[in-house]
Amino acid sequence: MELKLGWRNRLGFMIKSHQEESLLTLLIVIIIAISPIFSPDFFTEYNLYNLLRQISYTAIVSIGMLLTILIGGIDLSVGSIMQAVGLSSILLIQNDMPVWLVVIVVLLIGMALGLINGSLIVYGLLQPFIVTLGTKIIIDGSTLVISDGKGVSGNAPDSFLEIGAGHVGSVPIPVIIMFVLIFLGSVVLNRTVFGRQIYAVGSNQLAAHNSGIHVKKIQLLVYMLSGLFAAIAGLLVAARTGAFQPITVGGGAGGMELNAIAAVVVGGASLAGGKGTIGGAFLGALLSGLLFNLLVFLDLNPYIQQFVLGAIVLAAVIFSASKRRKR
Amino acid sequence: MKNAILELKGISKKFGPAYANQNINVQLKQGEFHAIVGENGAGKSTLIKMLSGVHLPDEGEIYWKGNAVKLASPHAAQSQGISTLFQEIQEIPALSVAENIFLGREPKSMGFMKWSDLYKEAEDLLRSLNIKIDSQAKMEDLRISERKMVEIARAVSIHAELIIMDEPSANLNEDELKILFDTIALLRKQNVTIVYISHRLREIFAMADRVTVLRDGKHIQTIDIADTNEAALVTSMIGRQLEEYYPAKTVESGSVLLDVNNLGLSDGELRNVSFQLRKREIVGLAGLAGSGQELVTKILFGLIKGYTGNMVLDGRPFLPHSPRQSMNAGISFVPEDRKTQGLFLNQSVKDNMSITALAKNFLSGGLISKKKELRKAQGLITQLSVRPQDPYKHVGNLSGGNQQKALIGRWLIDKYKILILEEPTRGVDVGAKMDIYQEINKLLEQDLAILMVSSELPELLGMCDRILVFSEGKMTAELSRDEATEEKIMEYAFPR
Amino acid sequence: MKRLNNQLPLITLIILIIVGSFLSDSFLSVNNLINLIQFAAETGIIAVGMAFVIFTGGIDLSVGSTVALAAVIAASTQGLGVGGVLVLCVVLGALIGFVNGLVITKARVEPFMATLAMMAIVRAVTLWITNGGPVLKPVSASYQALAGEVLGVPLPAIYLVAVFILGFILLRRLPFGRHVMAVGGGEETARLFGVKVERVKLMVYTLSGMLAALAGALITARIGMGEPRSGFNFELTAIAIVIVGGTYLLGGRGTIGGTFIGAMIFAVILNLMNLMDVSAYVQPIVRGLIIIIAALLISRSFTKKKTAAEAA
Repeated sequence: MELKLGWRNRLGFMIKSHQEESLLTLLIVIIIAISPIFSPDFFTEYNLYNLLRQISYTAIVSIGMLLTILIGGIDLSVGSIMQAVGLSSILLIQNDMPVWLVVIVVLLIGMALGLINGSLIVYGLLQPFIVTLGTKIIIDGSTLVISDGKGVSGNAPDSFLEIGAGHVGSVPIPVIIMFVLIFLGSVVLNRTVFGRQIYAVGSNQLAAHNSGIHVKKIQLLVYMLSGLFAAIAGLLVAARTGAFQPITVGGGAGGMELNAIAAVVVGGASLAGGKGTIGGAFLGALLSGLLFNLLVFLDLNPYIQQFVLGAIVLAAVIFSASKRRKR
Repeated sequence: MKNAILELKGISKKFGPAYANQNINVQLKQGEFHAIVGENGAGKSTLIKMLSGVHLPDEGEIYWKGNAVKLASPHAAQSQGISTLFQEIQEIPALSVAENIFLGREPKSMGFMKWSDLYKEAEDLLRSLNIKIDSQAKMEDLRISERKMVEIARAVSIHAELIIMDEPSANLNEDELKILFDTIALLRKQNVTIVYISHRLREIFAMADRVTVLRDGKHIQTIDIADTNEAALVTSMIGRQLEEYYPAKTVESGSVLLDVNNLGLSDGELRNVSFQLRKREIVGLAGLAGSGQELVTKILFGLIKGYTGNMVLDGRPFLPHSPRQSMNAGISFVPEDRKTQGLFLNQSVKDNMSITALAKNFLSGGLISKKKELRKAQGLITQLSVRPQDPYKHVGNLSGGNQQKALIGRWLIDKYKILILEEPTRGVDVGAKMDIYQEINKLLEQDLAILMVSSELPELLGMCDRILVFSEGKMTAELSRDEATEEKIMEYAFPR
Repeated sequence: MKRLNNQLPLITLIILIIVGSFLSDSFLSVNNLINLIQFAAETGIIAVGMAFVIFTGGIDLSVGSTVALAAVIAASTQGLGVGGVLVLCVVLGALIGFVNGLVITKARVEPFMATLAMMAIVRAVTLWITNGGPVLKPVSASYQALAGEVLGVPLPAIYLVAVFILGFILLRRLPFGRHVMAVGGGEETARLFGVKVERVKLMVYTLSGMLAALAGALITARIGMGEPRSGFNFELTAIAIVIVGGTYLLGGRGTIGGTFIGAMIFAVILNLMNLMDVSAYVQPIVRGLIIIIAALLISRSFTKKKTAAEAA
């Protein structure tokens, strides 16, 4: 019984096996189609690239968040890791460290922070949300102590700024990096042993252990990767302006962790683990990015954005939980 | 019958297409001690789950004191006066004995707790049952037998008129058993009706008034205990010839593959187990639940550390301490509870099969070749006749038998030396059972050796070259295919 | 050893007090101690609600945002009079908690996720209605008197003690408390024994929202204006207080007395950091470390207990 499918069947199969993704794509197409009603400025090359750049940070962090959610965990410290990495990169650049070394060092910092999260969860037998909530405020506090709560800016070399603000053709570099990471991430998840083992661990830890999978190693690696992706996003944000801006307490920053969770859950992932795709997470990020972008055009109070974000998360988790109950 | 407290009329319960209980008609007399016996899978637990309100029957009626009742939840059954002691103790471990007994019915005045009354009433209750337990002790600090006593006390305190006990004597030592039996005797004086499920026929003959035999989900007979004896009861429970569907073995066993010497666990749950397993041989491990047979297979698959003794696998010393290590040495493992221990229910059949074999079989250029993987999965689906023939179907949506086939398929991609099967056909319908038996036999031709743990004796008798019987952590017998009978296995399986 | 584990919070507090008296001469002064309890009042009140939620095996991350909303609402509705404002705030908090409870019991969303989303929503609403800045309407003197003193004792300290006594009565003197513990200790068993599990959960989240709102209303009385940034990270402090007080994060184990000690431990640590001029930025780091260390200690001790019981 060899599966021989025409493109029509293949498309049908794709849609059937990726219902959430298909639905999201449809929704996004509709929103884009009707967007000129709200503002003629929406459908401009400038705005579309701008939109993509805005969502690139969320999308990149979402990849790591997806991995933690796939294994049935969560990482609430990603926003703080972004901040810490942003500050570190600016401080290192100010101290004339070569750009390539800065990149390596800050990515290692992100992974190290992720490893701490992972170790506490795996060896401390603690719930992921409480560990990452704890490390979140520790990292936040450390960032504030080091920066003394003030912005840091300084003579960043052009080669550093290029990472965050540069373009290839007219495509912003963060957007390119986002697409590369989405591609790589998808390949790893779908086509490597590690990727399959992530799904297995999230689907049934005991069965994964009984299939010879090193469950703890997978968990540790996933939290490290979540730290890494947050670090990449943090680096891109810092390199855009060459300055570090502390997020003021309660200043309306809903937090990157919420953005990323929203993207992942809207993208069809289940908080119970074992289900979700990077494509879905990207579409989730794109959808909320689009909505925010339109809200800006509607000229509403900026805090409404935060409200919408929270409402999206709540609606998505309720929807996802209701599907789980039906099964 | 006038004094029937509970009557089952034509009760049936289906799970999927298969009947777990079919047309059960039983009357329970007020104040009697009624035993229910049957082999594993005979339908005992389904029956008591309907009595206790966990399941609703699909067909038939339950009459309680002459009135048809619908027991929609365990709480509903309790408020009627039917209380159940499940195998798993129902308790809140961090709360005290008294709090557990009166949970949901705390003594109070004007809305406030009356702690002194709580403890006093609990103490009075325990004293009236001759149970010597401190009512202020926390449940988690008690021994199993004591926790069971507290459960019984709770059942008494809600004025249960019918108490269902599912294997209450399992895991109890002699002293604890005596306490249990004394308590039961006290309950009987208070005219409480008791339904008692146990494998231990001795207990049943010592206490029961009547006994109901179930087999294959059907009601075989209900009989006064005075009118029967152990042998007759066992025959009635087994009641069949070895079915035709066990395939004849076509290959000869080969040289010794696995040599186990003095295997044991330091806590004494397993003692001095020695046996050999030959190539192309099926060896069955039999025994009552928790007698040690499943510890042997778990040690072999690296799931239990800290064992003593030594093992030699294919001429090399073998001391596994992780599943990976066991797999590398050539051992594969189909666990007892496929849903919680084996399968990834929300993943596809294909992914469930390939997960252990990805690295060795399907990589090309470091990436998984989906084409190769799909082809192999389709091959296994055909070979094992998994239905539906859809490699992308989520395994959770398959029937029990097809789930089991998919799980066995997982171990047929890479080459292994030993396949451990725990309860290979639990919850599997007859058709799929036959497929699985056929496939097990075919595996022998590939030089595989098989260790099979099963609580279904006919299956062991029909499939195995030898059967090792376990009782209380020791191997009590090694029976060849020719000498093994159900009666003999039972004889060695019961603690003496 | 077990006894020692149970007494660990108290021992920690005593050691902290001894250390504190060495570190700072003013630490043991009456003034400072009163100051200390007053300082503990707002987060301590929230911790009582959080404790009940955690006893049921849940968590409430939305309390910090509820504090802020209540603070802002209290400042903008001064016309209602002191009693009116308090009632309005508490009702609002109860409503937020009730919605949390509904999402958790009816939609079966994980508590941390449901309340995380609620945290973002309530915070956004707060900032939205204030446009990010403080409410500058005058807060009446009689309202500010809520945070005043009686006979030299600050009222917030009295509220704190009162809320803890109420919490104690709820947990130990009413059947409700037993049901809360039963839900956290074994939901299915509790249901089997006739405990109305969903109702118990709805009630604890409602209680948590009410107490958070009360704390918010008190903050406005204390600082004399409605600050939308108040309550930030309070959920973490409250969780930390509860865990440090010896409560098991997975539910079913813990005491209100322990939670009180946890609140005092936190107050002493913060007080000492203030007396020693530790940077305000360092304080969250200490809080985070305490959460993780305490959670590790408690998780370890109960996991050991569980496996020991299973082996027996």
